[in-house]
Amino acid sequence: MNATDSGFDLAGLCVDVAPQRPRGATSVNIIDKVSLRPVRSRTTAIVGESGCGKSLMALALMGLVDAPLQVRSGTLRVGDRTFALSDKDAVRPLRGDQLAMVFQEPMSALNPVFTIGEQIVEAIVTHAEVGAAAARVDAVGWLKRVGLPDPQRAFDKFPHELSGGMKQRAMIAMALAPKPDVLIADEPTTALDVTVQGQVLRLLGSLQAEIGLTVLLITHDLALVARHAQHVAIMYAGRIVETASVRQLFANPQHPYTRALLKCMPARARRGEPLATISGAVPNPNGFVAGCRFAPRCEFVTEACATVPPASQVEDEHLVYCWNVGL
Amino acid sequence: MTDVSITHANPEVDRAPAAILEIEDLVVKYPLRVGWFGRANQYVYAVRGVSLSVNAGQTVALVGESGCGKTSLGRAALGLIKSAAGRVRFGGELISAMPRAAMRPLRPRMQMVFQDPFSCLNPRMPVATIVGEALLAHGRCGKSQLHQRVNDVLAQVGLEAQHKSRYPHEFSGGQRQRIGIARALALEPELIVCDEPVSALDVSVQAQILNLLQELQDRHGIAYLFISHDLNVVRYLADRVAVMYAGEIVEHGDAQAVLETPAHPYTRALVRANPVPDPDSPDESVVLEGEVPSLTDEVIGCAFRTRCADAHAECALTAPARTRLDSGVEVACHLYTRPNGLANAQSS
Amino acid sequence: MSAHTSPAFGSPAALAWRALRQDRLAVCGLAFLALLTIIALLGAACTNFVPAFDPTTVRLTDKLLPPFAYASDLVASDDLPALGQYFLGTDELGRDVFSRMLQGAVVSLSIGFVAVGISMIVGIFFGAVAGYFGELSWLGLSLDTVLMRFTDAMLCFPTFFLILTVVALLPASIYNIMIVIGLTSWMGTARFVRAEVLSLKDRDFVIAAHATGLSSWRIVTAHLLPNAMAPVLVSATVGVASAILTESALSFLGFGVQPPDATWGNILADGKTFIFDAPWLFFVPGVAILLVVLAFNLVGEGLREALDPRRAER
Repeated sequence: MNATDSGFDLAGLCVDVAPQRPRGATSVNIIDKVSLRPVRSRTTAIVGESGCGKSLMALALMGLVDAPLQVRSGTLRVGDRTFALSDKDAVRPLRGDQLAMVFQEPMSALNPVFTIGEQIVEAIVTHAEVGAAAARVDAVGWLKRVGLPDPQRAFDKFPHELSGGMKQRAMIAMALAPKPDVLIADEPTTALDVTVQGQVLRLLGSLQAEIGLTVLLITHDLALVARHAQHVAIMYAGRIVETASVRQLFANPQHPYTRALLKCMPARARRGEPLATISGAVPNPNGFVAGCRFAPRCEFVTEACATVPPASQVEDEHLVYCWNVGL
Repeated sequence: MTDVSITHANPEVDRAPAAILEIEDLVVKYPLRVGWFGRANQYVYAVRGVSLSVNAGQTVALVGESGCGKTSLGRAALGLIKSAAGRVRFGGELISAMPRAAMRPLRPRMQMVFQDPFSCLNPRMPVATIVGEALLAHGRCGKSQLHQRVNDVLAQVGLEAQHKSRYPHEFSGGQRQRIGIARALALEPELIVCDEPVSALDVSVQAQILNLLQELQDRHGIAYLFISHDLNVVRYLADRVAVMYAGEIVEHGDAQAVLETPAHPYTRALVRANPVPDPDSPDESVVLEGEVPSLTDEVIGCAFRTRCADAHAECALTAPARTRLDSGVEVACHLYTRPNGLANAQSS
Repeated sequence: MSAHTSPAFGSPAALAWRALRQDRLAVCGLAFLALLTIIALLGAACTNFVPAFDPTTVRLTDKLLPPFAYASDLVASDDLPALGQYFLGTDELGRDVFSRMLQGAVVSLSIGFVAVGISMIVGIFFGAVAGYFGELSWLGLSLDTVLMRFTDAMLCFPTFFLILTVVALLPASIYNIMIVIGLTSWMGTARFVRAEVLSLKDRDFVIAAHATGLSSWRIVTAHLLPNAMAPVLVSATVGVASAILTESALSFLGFGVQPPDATWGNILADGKTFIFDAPWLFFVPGVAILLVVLAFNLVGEGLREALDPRRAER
């Protein structure tokens, strides 16, 4: 990935939690120097379990981080402009305009008292100087593009009249109508049935090709990543531990955490044999150790792991943050 | 398979295929609209004539998507909700019409593990009480032995004795799920209905809980009615699979047969939609267009026909009878009903 | 879902207490009420046993003296107030207002607490039964319908007039007043409890309790009610304030506790005749009632915030 390919460029994101009580308590780091360079018009997946900070990272990108959480540092380059993420006001104009977000629960992200058509029109009108009639035509066009049957009628439907999958498509329409460059999808299909999940993700894939959309897919499900993403970054305890193309990751996982995650999936296990597990549990930010944060649970831990491992390049596009690369 | 009712002390040695749970033509409905004087005049039929059985020590998976009625079926199987028609037999006894007081002594033998680790435990009760109160209520042990019993159960699910005095909110999701399992296990049940027990957990925690469930089954010979929408988990854990759609079982049989060579179009769609962690496996998912039929009225014909690519004229006229295939799998689909179709009443 | 901060330790009650301590106004209210309770209890002892604090001593020579006035020389030494000074003045019979306020404190507070206690017991009972057993029905009417319509009927009643009627018919004792106020203010609690029980009934842990074969009594007392108490506690604190006000109103109208027993309400009532000559007779009990009601309301607000389930960390 070179600089011209990136949809955007995130560098050095650090997010802390600064507890207000007890007074004078030191802030605890959660996300530590996360950098990301998603490839334009491709889907990059951020994979991690709960507590790894992936949703928090998305919020930081959108400038939606509130006290007691605090963005300590981090720059975001979009096109040729650079923004400091610690300044929420700096990022605000990007929100919805170049950076859009789709959430996990379509039910709570859509306003129940307005029709979905009205909500899409509102999204359009907020970010562009467009008249109401033109915005309506645009909105109906988007409803068609996301695959809602009978878009004219769907325009006048309320969220509760739609199924989960259709609500999610409506949310995607709302997010994409202002024509952003990047779409952050935070667990967009976790609340949906498996038959609908594939449809929604395939929709994102086709939009990617159609309009050159860069998608950042946040998920905990590696199987979805295998099918619907092209690049992947694995996150653990607020740090990125491995980045690669999807093919490389599944063929040649390097980081012990990635390997353990793949091994403990039931899809890869045989009946009758106990599933592989990762000893210990995801640590709480108060319990993050200095050095490699996975060290307390890693079977390959050595003395070197007391310091934070730098990136090692394994293959082209494949980076691992581990001292024990090659084992 | 012969239907032999013998109880064995060591279930590992000889798994006698005695059905511990038998469900026949079960119907569960919920009132939708309430008219004058509280009389309901419209119902939603969540379960529309399901027959299913679980043998001792066996894991039967109930698979389906949201709204198919699997949770209602699981609860009706334990007599937690009233069924409108049909019979449920537990250990040979008819429980579907039993009054609450008569059910009490049976309850310890049939337990439930829930999906959401954050709402399955009373937030105001310490772990010791959560796990131990039923033991006291059923007179299983006196107050003096309670501590020891609770410690034993907690150890079996991988928790420490010192956790006894803590409250649910002090634990992680995986640990809370273990507490829920401990609560069910304390009463030494013969059957546990697991309602999506790992769906809300991370992959690494999921693996731990699945291992725990398997271990407990191997050790105690507990039968599981395992409700899930995740085919990977089901393939790993289940002996038999029943696929549910719109309140009915559409396919039912040996887990491997159903999941590897699915017969019913819906099962096929589910299996193909199931993502596999292999970027080279082709995406053969079929798109299911169409709407799920409303479950408030009687469904004429096959409930899946509105979304089935293989639907033909007969599907709209008559409900398909159950046909037994050579593999032992039962399917409810017109593609398989022969002129002299065998409609089996009960599978073992 | 966040792992931002470490899991909070302790029982939910301990957590709520810690949260309550954060609210400065609530803590002020609580401190005031604690102080008042101590003063009231001490005062009860003093007014009964210490002659200097006897509220019934009539000193016709020292009528209507302002606060901090000294006892005149004509007062007999047995009848002297504490330190020879009337801290809050005297009333039209020369009685020490401070001593009378002390006596009234105990009465007003106990009427408040007992009345609320009764209303809580009745309200919780009705609400829990309607919520949990509501579906049982006879002759087409469900238990829930019967209980709730009865509650609605009671709510429509002008309860103050009911209290007046009962008090007028029965001998006017403190106990009758407590009971009557209690029996006419349970309706709000019943509604809260019923609403909470209905929403809790479908929670997994209640279904689990059912599945493990616990008796209905155990489910209601150990699983449902402890989780339904939040709105009840909040309305109880406000209820005490309201009971005190009702008692004051009754006494003001002459229907409450009869002289020579003092309550803040009847001190207020006596004072209204002299409002221009001796305004302190009116303002002292009035301000006292105001402060107590304010304190209870602040604590109630603080409790409501502290017990808000949205605060609970997952």
